[in-house]
Amino acid sequence: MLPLPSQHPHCTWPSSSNHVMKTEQGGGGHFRGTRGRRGGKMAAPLELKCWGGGWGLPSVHCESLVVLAYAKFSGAPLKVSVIDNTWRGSRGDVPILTSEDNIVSQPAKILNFLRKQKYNADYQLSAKQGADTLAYIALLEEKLLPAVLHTFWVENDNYFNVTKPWFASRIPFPLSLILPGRMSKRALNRILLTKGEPPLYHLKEVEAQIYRDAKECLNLLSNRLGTSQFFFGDIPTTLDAYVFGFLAPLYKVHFPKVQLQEHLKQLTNLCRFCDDILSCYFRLSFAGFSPAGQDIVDANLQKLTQLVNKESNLIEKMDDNLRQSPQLPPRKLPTLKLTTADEESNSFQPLSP
Amino acid sequence: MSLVAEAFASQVAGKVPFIHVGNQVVSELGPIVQFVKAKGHSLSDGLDEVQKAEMKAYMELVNNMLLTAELYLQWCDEATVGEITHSRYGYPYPWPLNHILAYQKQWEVKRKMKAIGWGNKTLDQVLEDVDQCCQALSQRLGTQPYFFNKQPTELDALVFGHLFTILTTQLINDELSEKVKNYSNLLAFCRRIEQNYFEDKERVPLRLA
Repeated sequence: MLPLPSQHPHCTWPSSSNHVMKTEQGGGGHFRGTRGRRGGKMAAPLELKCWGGGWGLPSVHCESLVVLAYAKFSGAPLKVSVIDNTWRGSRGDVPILTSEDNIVSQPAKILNFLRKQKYNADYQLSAKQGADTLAYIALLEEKLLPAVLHTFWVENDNYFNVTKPWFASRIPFPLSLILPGRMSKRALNRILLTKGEPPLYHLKEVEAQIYRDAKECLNLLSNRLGTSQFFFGDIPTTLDAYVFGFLAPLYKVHFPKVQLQEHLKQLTNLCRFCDDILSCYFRLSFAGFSPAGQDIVDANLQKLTQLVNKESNLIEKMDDNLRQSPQLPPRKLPTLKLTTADEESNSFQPLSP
Repeated sequence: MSLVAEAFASQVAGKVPFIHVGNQVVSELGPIVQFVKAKGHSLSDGLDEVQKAEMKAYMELVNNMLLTAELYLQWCDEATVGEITHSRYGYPYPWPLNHILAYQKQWEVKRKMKAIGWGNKTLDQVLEDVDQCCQALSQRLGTQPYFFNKQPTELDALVFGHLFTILTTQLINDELSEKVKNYSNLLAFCRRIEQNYFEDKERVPLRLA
């Protein structure tokens, strides 16, 4: 299970930060301190159900990651529970936010709900920047999301070697045979229905088109980010949450087929952006691997040691067999003793045509 | 979409709009823009990289929100479907083909809506999204004549196309056009383009009553 975000070490950030709670309380202070002061006034605890993490990320699922990042940026105290009751997951309802009797499901709606609860990461933006946010989010959803879905769920090598085992390991037994397949079909469906219109008929052409679009989108994002810390100056906003949510899984998860990941890694400012957010807001996950990541590493190490031990046992056995078998007379290898004449002719030979 | 054009499109199995140059047919906005650019005419040459990124982002916003909302209103709102869309879509075909094709198209559109997460949206939520989109466009336009500098770009063309259609197409309920009419700078923008570029070919005057 992931550590709850409420137990994360705080991130020191400039005092003119975006925590609405701080300005209301009228003082600087640590993240934890203000939350404590606010805690007495809070109406209801907010609980988020989402997919778990791996490879140094708090969550491997794009939409869950968007919500987690936004909650960090806006200071919303979320209780994160990693779900394994996944009939909701198959219908695309993950992540889900529950608060008292409100159940909110898609990331856009969840973010709206959080904003209404006064956890707003955008209140310092101008109207034009707010409009830009909407536009860039639309760009992400139209151009980048199909390719991300394809990389995770449709590309056979990736799906069978990485995505399916990962999700299947987090779903109880009989469902683990069905649900990943269903999610994969849903992703393919979405890609084909939105992008597979004439004149693109063949899946290969659709794939080529969506990867072209995704690379262009990554380039545009990189141009827009430039050298600044976040997309709108020094304070992370909704757009940063969305970009992080879509890019981080692409950046961190190890896939066999990596063309989009390679392209992303060449855009160093986007990689720096993801790493910054991970190290600052999800410090536990980044600095020392999340416990899930650590478990994976330990398990791999164990398997490796077992393999090595087996190999060394085998080699010992072979050695023993050799020693016990009847000894053959050692073969005499012809020794090369070159006479001077031979040496000369040998040395001249390479030069002859 | 004119019926002749639809019939042509269904025969050529391409999409409207298209341009016919010599023996080449190029359809849809994106490829047409590329084609024209290859011939040496481009509207967005004067923009720097950041502005080009913004332009592309806003174009996606329009495609994502306005286009989907228009589709929703045409095909998923029962009143509109029954009164207008079915008969308009099936008009060129004989019975029973007109009904079959109309239902098939409706089923396809509903499938697409469900895939992108709009399946459970009510009409009010869709209108709210349109409002948000118009607000974003209005804020981006501000008091400028066009979205970028003083010259129109592809974004202006796209926005004009959608807004003009919304404002001039009569549907059962006018809520969609009412949402757009709330933003006076968008109205002025449409008027301006219509007057500057279309006034010799007056087809449907912009009724702003």
